[in-house]
Amino acid sequence: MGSADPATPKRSPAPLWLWVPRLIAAGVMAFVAYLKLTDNPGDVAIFTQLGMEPHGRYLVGVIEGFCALVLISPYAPVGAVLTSGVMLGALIGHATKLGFIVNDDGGMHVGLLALVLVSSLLVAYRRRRELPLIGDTL
Amino acid sequence: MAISFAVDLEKVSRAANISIPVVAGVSFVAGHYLTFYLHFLTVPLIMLTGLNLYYLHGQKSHALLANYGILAQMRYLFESLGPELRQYLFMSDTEERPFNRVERAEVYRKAKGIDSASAFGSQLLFGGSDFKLLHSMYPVPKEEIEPFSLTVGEERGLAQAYRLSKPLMISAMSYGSLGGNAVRALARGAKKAGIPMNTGEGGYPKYHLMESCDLIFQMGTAKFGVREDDGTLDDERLAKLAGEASIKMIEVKLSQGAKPGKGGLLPKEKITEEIAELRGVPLGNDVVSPPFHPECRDPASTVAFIRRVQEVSGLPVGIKLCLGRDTELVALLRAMKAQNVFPDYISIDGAEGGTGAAPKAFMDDFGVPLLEALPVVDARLIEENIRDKMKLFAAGKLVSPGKQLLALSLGADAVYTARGFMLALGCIQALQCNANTCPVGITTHRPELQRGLDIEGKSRRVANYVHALEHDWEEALSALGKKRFSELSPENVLMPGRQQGDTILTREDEQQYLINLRRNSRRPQA
Repeated sequence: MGSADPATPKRSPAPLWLWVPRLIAAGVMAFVAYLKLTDNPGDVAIFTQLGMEPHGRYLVGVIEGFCALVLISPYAPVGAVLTSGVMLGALIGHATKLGFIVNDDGGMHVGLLALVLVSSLLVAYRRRRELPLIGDTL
Repeated sequence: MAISFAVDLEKVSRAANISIPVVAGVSFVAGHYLTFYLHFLTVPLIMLTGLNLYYLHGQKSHALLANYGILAQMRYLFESLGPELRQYLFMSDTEERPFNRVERAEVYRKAKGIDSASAFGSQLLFGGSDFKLLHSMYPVPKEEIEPFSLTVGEERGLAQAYRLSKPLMISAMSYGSLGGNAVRALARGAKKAGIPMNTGEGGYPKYHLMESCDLIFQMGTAKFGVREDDGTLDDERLAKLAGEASIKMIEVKLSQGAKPGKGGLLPKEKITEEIAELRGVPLGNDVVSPPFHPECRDPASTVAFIRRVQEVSGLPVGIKLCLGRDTELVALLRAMKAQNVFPDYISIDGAEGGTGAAPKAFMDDFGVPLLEALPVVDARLIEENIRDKMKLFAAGKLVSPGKQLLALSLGADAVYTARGFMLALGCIQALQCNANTCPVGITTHRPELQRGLDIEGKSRRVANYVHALEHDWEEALSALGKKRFSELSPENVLMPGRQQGDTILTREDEQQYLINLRRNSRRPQA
């Protein structure tokens, strides 16, 4: 910070295609946040099973909405890490409590989860150097 | 016998490296049996475990992180906060570089129009290694001091000779190195104070021209704004620029104190579309000017180029250089005599001069510092009998009235400062000029950072700074027993002795030599 050394390696800008996973993750997060915050019966059922109804559902819904916003902001890498964290939590839920077929969805929930997890990890990985504090060491 | 309270960092970090995954596991199990909410803890701990595994086993570029894991991050955190912590908490008032708090505070006070009298005594060391001004036992009454006047170009009888009414000018800062607001605040301040401003090598000086102050157009080695595609001079464009009413002089930059022998440098972070257009350069790359003008490959061709610029522009034309080898300077002066072509001024940039971006080795280890260079150049001009053919300007950390008077005594007819005016604009010396992140909006193009730089308010500070300096110069001239600036000479300077070649020049020897030279020559200024 603050050094006047022009020899510092310059970061190349993120490739344009990275917008694809970024928008997929942001779109899905915004959609599931909307479902949770509008008392969608499927989500009510899931959170009842997790023992977190209704406060946990609202909390997770707000976090997911926040993730969607950060993902489309200039701080996308931070949003991507947050999103990965939320997906990791969801994965734990499916692995320990919910099972991989929820409400007879044929694995749709878990499939979506995997899609968002892969997308957000991709964004976080490609732009890891922009992360605060740890970016320079990655 | 010493009792050690040292913390064994290795043990602490090993404990952390083990406990993070263990706590993650405990939290996972507890989350399953007690409440799912605990997984809000499990997830970050799992991610932290992953990061830590990468630090310990996955990466090889950071030894500390590989040996100690995530706790070693603390070092990077503190290191990144270091400059600010030192500046705010730990550095004493005279410790910081390039400008310590005492020097900065003086400019701030002048710019804000606050009395800069201080109490109890000087904060500086008096070790006999510094240049000092020598006052007279017989001060001159202030009413008898004559106003400053210097006409550049009078030697050639130019119709467009330029008269300076103050011995101070705003030194070269381009639009590019500075943001638009900063350039306009400086230009408006220059207009208010009645001093000229140098445009720096930034191409067509669009923002400088907005405030209609007097301008010195600087032509760098890349000749932004007046170049042909091959980097040589485009006579037509120069003539057109010189026709702008505000442009009063042209300065050919041969070298710069902060990076002598190297061309200008504008990091790509700071290149906006507008700058790319004004300079005629591509976006997305650092812009590195060549180290020399293609036209100037030896003394004769350099002098021929000066003549060409003089003829094309019709304005006073100066050259700016940082002194390197004395012998090369003499060769250049002799080439001037041989062709009977003289620049209207030479501006000597000291090695301590500032820059928006330069390689560290050039900043630290190249070139002659100003107060050493200036008497040498002045002496060579006198020895070659051409001191009356041109004016001599000086630049390089001349932010305080005392330093400016030292330069004026050691041969300069007028002085430049750039950073003095940046401080007047509110520069806090964050040292981020190359990163487009200037926190006070001076050396950045980001609108959200430039927002805080109010053009009208800051332009008043620029003018205040000049007026406060004028007041101090007048008081100092009186104390030095001089009625006019042109009477200043090495006689009123205490010079530290220094070694030259095998002989150690005593302070007296060298000073006497300079004084004798001066006595036998006519100073150009009336």
